[in-house]
Amino acid sequence: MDCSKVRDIIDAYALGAGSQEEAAQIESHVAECVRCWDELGKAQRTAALLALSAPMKDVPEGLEDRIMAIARQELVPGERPERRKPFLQRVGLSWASAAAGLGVSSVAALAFAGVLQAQVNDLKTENDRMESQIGGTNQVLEEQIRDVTDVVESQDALLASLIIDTHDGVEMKPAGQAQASVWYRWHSSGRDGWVMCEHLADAPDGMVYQVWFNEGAVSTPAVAFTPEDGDCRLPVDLTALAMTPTGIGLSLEEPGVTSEGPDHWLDYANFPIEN
Amino acid sequence: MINDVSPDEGLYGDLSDEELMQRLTVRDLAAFRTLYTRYSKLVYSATYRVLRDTHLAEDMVQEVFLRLWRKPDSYSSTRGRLTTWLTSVSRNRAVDEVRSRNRRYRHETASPEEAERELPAPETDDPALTAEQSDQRRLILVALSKLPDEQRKTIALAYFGGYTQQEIAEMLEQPLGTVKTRIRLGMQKLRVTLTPELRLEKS
Repeated sequence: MDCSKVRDIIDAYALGAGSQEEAAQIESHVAECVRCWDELGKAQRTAALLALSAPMKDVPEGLEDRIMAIARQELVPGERPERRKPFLQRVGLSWASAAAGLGVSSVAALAFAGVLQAQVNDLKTENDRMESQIGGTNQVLEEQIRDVTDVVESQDALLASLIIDTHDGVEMKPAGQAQASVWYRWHSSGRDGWVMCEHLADAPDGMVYQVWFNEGAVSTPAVAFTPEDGDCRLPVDLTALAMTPTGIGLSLEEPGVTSEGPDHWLDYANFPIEN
Repeated sequence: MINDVSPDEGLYGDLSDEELMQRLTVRDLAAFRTLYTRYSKLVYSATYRVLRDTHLAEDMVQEVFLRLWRKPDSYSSTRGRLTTWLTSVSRNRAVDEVRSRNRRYRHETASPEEAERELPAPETDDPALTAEQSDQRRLILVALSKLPDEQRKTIALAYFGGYTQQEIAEMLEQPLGTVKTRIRLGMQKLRVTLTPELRLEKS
């Protein structure tokens, strides 16, 4: 089939309206003809744009919840974990005290991809401040920055994401934000990680956020915190937990009390399985 | 490429499609929700246009989005904008579904009269769409509105009805050659009118 004949039927092919015989002829021709292959691309892109001409219909209510529930279920396979140890470790850490405590240890901090640069910049700013406070530790601080940057840029980072919408029917989000999120990121080859959050509402009076880790069906409280301006950034040393967590949860509780089980968590997610 | 933001996209509303897709590769549920918010109406509308059935269209939307969730690398920016890719993938799956059903169903659900009635006015903007989506939609609607009725109708039957040229010829009681000419001329005009947009798609 020559080019002019192909051009005659190429639009119908792009619309999926040609015959099977015509389709075979076109596919055979464009495999060897760059010009017609280019023409076919234009015809297909034109056809694809037609999808946008459909009259707009409102998406039925409930569909989003259904799809998100399936997606979340796939993120969290299996049953809800059960809590075994009521109170193993509860550490409220501010960034400054934690960073000072960690010193030159291999800080396996992973910044979330989109806030990566902001996290590194924050760290540098924080380190500058610490440097002015404690003095004489330039080398230590540089090494810490290098450690963090190494982890931030590493390819074997793992991530679990929690979405915090409501608590007891009350929206847990600052004004103007659609939702809050909490992440736990860690270096898969190490044991240290970071809990980070964005746009998290202040905890109700007298309550703190409690991070939980679960290993299979067993859950363990790890770090308690209150967000600052909706953000948090908490180092977590998994060696202190004597477990290899497979998921993370978040609850709201009174300080020093862990009376509620996973059913009362705001959200939870299993970590993705490493390839 | 930063997309215009619709008001309800939440945490990641200011991220580009590309950034959101990158986050899907690390199983970021919030990114998935943002993509759903950004594209569900377009995807649902395209599938409903083909299927004419709320429940079938819902199932199709679910299938398309969960495919994106499970295999984010099935989309590549080299395949055009995410908007066009998502809606055309949805349309293609919907047409497969329609074709797997019997002819009677198809005639009942996608008559030429229906197809003709449902060309929206180009100036109609939907508040649920981003400015970019609205612009793209306006362009294609204007381009379609410039076509003679019979060309537009024939293209709509092929694209949204999932009919072959032979089936359209029988349905409209027109010679096959006439149908082929309408499709060829109509698509060529669309291609000329949409040239700037096609260049963007390619880039």
